[in-house]
Amino acid sequence: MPIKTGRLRKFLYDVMKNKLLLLMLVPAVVYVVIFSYIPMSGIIMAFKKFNYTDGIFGSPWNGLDNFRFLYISGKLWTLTRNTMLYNIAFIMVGLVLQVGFAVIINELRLRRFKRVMQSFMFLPYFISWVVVVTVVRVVFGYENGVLTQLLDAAGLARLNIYVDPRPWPFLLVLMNAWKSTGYGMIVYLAAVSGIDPGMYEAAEIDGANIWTRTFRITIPSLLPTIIIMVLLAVGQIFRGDFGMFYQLIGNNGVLLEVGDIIDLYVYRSMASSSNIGMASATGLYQSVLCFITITATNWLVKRFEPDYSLF
Amino acid sequence: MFARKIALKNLICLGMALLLSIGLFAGCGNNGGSSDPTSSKPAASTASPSSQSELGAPANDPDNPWSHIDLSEPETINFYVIGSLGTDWERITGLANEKMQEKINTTVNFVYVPWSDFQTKYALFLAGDESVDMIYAAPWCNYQEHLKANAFTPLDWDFISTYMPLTAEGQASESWKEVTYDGKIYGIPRDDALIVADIAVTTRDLMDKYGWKESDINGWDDLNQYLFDIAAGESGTGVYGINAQSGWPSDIYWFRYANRIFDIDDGSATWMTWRYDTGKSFDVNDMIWFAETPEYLEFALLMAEFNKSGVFPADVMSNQTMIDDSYLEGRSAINFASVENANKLISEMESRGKEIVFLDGVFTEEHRSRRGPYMMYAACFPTASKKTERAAVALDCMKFDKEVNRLLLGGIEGEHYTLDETANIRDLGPNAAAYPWAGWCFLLQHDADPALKLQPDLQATQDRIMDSLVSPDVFPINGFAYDNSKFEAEIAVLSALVNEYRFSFCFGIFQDNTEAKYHQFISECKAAGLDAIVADYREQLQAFIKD
Amino acid sequence: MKCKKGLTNDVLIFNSVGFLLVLIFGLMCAIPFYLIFISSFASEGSLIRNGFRFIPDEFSLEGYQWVFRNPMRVLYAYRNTICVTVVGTACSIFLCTVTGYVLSRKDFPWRNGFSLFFFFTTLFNGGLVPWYILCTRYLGFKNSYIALILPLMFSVWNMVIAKNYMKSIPFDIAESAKVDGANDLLIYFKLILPLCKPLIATLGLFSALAYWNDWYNSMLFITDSDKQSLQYFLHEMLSTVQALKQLASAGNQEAITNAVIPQDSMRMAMTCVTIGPIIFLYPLIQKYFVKGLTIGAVKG
Repeated sequence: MPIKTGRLRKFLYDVMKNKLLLLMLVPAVVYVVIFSYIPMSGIIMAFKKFNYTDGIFGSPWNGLDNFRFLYISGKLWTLTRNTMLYNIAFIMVGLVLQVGFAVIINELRLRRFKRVMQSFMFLPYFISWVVVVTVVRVVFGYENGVLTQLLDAAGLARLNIYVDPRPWPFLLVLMNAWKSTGYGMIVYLAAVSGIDPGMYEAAEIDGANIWTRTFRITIPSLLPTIIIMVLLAVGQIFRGDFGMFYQLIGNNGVLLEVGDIIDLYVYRSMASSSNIGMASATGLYQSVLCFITITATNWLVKRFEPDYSLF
Repeated sequence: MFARKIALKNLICLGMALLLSIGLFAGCGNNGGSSDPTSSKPAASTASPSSQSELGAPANDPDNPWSHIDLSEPETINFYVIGSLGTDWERITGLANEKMQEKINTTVNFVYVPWSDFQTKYALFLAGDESVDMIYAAPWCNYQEHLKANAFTPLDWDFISTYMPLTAEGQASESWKEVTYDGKIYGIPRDDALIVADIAVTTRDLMDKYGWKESDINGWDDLNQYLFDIAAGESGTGVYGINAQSGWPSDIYWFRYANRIFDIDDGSATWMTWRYDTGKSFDVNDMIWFAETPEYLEFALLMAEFNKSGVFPADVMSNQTMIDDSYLEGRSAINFASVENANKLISEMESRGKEIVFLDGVFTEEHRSRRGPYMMYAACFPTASKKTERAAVALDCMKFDKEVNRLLLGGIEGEHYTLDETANIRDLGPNAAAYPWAGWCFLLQHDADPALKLQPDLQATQDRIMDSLVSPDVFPINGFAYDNSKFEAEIAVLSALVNEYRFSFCFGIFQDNTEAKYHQFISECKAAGLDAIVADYREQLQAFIKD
Repeated sequence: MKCKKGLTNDVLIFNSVGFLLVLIFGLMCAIPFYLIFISSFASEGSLIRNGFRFIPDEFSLEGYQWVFRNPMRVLYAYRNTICVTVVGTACSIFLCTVTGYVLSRKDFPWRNGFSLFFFFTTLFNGGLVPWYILCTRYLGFKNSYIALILPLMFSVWNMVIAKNYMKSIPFDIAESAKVDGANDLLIYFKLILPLCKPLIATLGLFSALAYWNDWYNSMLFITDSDKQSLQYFLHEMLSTVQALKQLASAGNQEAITNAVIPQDSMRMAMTCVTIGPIIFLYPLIQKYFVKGLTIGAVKG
């Protein structure tokens, strides 16, 4: 009895002590409850046979039927693995490039050059994938592409990337990096600009050269940000970038050997049907996998550095 | 925000991208000549118009066919439409509404939904929007699935003869079968059956360059040789400048047309086909899944040849230019066009100083077209709406009231179109671009509508097409709807497989590996349950035909 | 701040290598954009005949003419997008930083719980249908600007970034202020926020971009063409053109009676039209990404 009262007392005491902080949280909490938690009830549609008169809550249950199309194809493991591997590659390559460029740009002395190049690096973010397809055609086109001209000049055999699946894993990583480095770099730029210059001065006085300064001061200071960004990305690791994959690989049977992901498969199977239950089922499948992954990863991070974890 | 946005984006991209590959279902009716649909009595089904009930005989007042309905309350109906509006759209619909206000005390609020959004928002309209009183339905919008999910209000003949007297009389009687499911009518189809028939065209300068004449081309083999000749002679690729985003993929022409293979097109995307031979009638046992036909492998190998010899452009999978544009700009040696599109191509080519050549010989005596479904578009009434009766009256007025119908279809005579009453031919008016004929109201069309005036060369082709129509008696599948509830998951897997391989076969991307890939494709489909689906389909089709 | 000191060898090497890497990547990003830019001024015919070239054969303003065919609508679209972006970004910055601040406070006992509470929403979602029903039927979003502003106002991603950034601000500041009698809200506004200039710049940029690029909410909720966002307006125009061309192949009338619509150059023109304004925002933000902007102030 006394323990319970004690706990309750402590809880109320904490609430009173932090009442202003709690109040500051209220707008966001209300927002999230309305716009995210209430619609989340729609997840039950993954287990129902939806019809319009009964709606979400009245439609009859149909167990795991909506999930069947995922596993009877026998491809589910390949698709899941592809989705995950591509995302891991995107995260890792993206991380190296974004942090690398943020650090370099921060250290570069030429101000105007820095500014101009930063703006350039930002441009690909605005180019939609549909237009990127055109750019890819110009660069890698079999007949007049830049690559072809280079190969011809070097006397090598031409390469038609649309009938050859081998270069595509690299191409996809390259294009993802190209498009998102400028945007992803911004967070690291902001973080780097928050590092105390005093530390650098002290290190210089102690005789550290720039490489030491970078790897002993800059990177460790960026570590919390890096971990958070990686965790955020891991939280979406089983969701593919549909826009990119559809535009670049689409319905090309040759390329689908190496580039087929869950989202593309679902698109192909539902192309002629509008089964809301099946769409929900896929979303749920991906969500559960993401949830398991991020919980495990977050727990791992917590064990080593509780301060850097996501939750 | 991220996860929701991405998951939602999936559905969006689904809708958008799907629209880009509208494929077979985008055809909006060639008003072929003025032949009436056959006036055969429909098969006896419970919703057959021939079994009119005693009550609800429509009023005999010719000036006001709706006099027996209580129209004292003014109402506004929300009609969700798609299409391409002209700049005069608001003016014309305003005029139409004035007339409808007079006649039936109703205003129709036409809510325009852009093409790009329609498929995505379709389910949303039905699920979330109570204000939708009437909406377009079509096979490519999963009409079948929606009706089985109780999206549309079922009607019976009483309802139709009471609230839609003009339609009950005027609508082609065999069209009702196509919107009947389980004894109930779920929508009002348009009064005009689709005919799909194309012509092959090329350019005079290319023919001259390679020493060919129209008379040399008498069939698909000759056409293929012509293409190979050009490919060998020209540097670069892309004799037939098609690509995965534009026009119809090559299996329509080299697989279906060339081999007289008809789709059993019931909107369920199960790709069942039947090969037509002269004098033969349809038998369910002759029904075969498209890729299991021996012709399909031949077709795939031919396409691989096309790809290797440069008939297809090297960037066939990534180019986005439309085939018509490629053809007009000289980047494609041949093109296939519907009769009406060909009409336009003639003038476009002239303005570029080139001469168009019709390769009528490709489509020989044996080539057949068929009068397709009426259920290309229908107007359906969502179950959530409370104004279904009034909406039905409004639709009746829009479809069969001469004034309102003509106004909505074509705009103002003399301004947007010109009409030759006696010959029942229409032509473009001085301001045609502001309000194109049937730009958005395809479901208000009739078979008896005036046909577009064709250039003289084309008229002969048009006549040839009409003569070659395969009668629905020979191929009686119009109105069949396959019930896929037992095999939903299997069909989804099959769908994924077909979409994975289809374009690759169509454009020969597998090149030397085609045959191996073909066998792989077939075995994967069989593993997904193809045989069971085919057997089930045959059963259902047999039952349908027996009725 | 150009310091002549410290120009040692290692710095020189670092700068040269860095310069080269940045230059290469920057050009890799800029050159395709140049291609897009110059192609928007190419005639459709030359694009079809000769593909995309670095110096087009034929110049023409066709693409832009089609985009600006109805100038009033373009103007309205710009107006809508700019207003929504400005208002939305302001609200978003406030909401995300406040929440991030609370969750960054080490002395807030439930910070991990709330973090999970927020983060969970990025993992699971019920799909489009329930959200649409909620917004239109119960919240009355139909055809209003609220529908464009609210959905993007709070982003968990931005909030996590804010929380992470604020963690790096030493806690002593807050504590000493508390000793002086300030409450949490005051601390937030007067002390913490001024120290977060790079953060605000970052969140501002991200929010502004999200609003600027948003066509999805316009598609779902806006039926009035005067209230559409810029991206949606362009996106609709392009897909209408594409659909028209598909239909033309199949015999549809409008498609046939209309002139040949320049699809490729129009797409390029549209890309330029949307990038145009927002790319000028970026240089404004850059000045906040300067070394030592915040900590210097802290020391002072």
